[in-house]
Amino acid sequence: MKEFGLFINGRWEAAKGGRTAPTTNPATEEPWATVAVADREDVRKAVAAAKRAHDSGVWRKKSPQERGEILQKVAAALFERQEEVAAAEVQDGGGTLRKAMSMDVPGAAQTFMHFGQYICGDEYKAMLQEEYDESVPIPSKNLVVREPIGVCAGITPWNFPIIMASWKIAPALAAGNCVVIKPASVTPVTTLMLGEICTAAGVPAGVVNVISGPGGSAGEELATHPDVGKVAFTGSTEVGRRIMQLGAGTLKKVTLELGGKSPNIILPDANLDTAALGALFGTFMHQGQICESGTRVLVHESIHDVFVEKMIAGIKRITIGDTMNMMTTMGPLVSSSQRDTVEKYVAVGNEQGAKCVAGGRRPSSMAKGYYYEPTIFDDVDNKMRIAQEEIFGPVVSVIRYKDEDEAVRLANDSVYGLGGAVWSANKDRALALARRIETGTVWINDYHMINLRFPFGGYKQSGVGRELGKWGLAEYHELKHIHVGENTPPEGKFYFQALLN
Amino acid sequence: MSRVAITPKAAEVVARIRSERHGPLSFTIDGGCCEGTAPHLLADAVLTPAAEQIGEVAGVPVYLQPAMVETYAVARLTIDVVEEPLSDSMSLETAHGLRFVLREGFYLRRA
Repeated sequence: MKEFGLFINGRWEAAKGGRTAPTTNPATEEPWATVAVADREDVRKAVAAAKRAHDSGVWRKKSPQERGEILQKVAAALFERQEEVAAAEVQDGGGTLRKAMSMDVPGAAQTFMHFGQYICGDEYKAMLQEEYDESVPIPSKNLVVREPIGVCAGITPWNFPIIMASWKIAPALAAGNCVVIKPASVTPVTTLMLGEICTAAGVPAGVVNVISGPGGSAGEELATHPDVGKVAFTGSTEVGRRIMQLGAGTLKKVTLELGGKSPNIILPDANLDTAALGALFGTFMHQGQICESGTRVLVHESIHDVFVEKMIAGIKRITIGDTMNMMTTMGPLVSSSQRDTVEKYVAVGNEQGAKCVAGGRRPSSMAKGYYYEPTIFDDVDNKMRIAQEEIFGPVVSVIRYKDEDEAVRLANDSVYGLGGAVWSANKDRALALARRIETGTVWINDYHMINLRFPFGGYKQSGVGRELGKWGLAEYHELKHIHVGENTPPEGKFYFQALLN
Repeated sequence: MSRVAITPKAAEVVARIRSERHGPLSFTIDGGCCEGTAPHLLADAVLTPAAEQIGEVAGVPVYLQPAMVETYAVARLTIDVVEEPLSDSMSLETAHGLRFVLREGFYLRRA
């Protein structure tokens, strides 16, 4: 059985308390690796290593060019080890090898490549320093500069472990920070591997530290540690609330990327074949375990019956099977408790009067593993629990609407505001709708198109702040205004007269 | 009238945590993707005014987050505890490899 320690200061370390835990393969329901479990002392050690590295200047004093080249080397190393890392990702978190080979590892590598290249360019130079000459009220040169924050903590979820870790590590390092990452306790392996990969690619010891441990101890320690300047969290809304609250004690910069109940709006003039497959892709990809999944499909009443038929027919093209077979497109959920939650909501959906027209059970073909069939509920009212609460599994609610105003009202009738989509042949019409939807991302005629150049995050209770793109990168910096005044005799400072006669 | 109860086992865990932590404890029933709808035991929790207290168990007040208030309007809930060695919830019992869960025995509202 593989064993993983904590990755602190460029080295593998056991947890101080010696605690380890097995991590389970969701396909076999058996443990496949053992991981050290960090407690508060281990977290303090990791933060101390990051702080030492930051204060020494070993990373932040490198030029953006030098940092960028190292980040690009991390990308290359990830591509080199693609099969190994992808296999580990699937064994730890479920899903499919097809997803891990086409999304997880390339996505992680591309994240390092993107930020590594961006900081070598002129746009980043301009982000680092802007200059202004002022003459009023007195002559001065003014610089607006961006600097790293210091030690940044990243707390990441189990649905895309290595991508989520990369979304935290790459921009933080690009900006000159040092990081401590706490991956989800059920999927720590690829993030721990990433710590080692970064170090081997030339990231100095202490700049990237990875500790795996429970939220209530290791997570709380990171969220309250006085030397951590920023906490970036991706996960559930209730944990995000607590992290924001804990950060308040030391006024940390907090970015939160939380849950969603994203509306997927189908207009009557859309290509219904494409939109139906898009609705399936938007809600069943990775077994529905994606924060911005389009879990509410809002269909115009005139096309409802035809559209639902196309969705049901499209499900035949989803292949449930062995996770390591590249023909499999739907794997197991990450854990038995996640499947319990899905089953609870399917029962609730039935009890509340929604009509289950596909799925609603475990696949009989899979004797082992936390599998569940793609499930469609029709005749859903937006007020039902299955339409308001985040299920995080392969369960979609189909909701009818009469006109665009109702579609918008339904779309926005949620405490969440993460993703959304509009399908229509008329782009102007779709754009007008997009502007009215209260979500951080709106896709027109597409779904799940994450682009590293553009900001990602939530309105309302789906989050605080943005990741990715120059906007996300900016949030990993402090901002300083330097006013350069003249060394004149006292008469040159007329504003002293407010105090001095 | 209290709409929430607690099992003896869970009450013991609350007592154990109370002896370890400073600050007022509270249960907040909240929902989300990864921890499901669960009671979170926190110290010094900051509560939104729209949260509703539905009772007290083991000397700890229990609140519903605003999004849960309508859903559980006629609910009778029980707080229980299970073993969970690898929880990422910030709830205090997770440090002991345990997790509070909600047993729902209630009349579902038709939407």
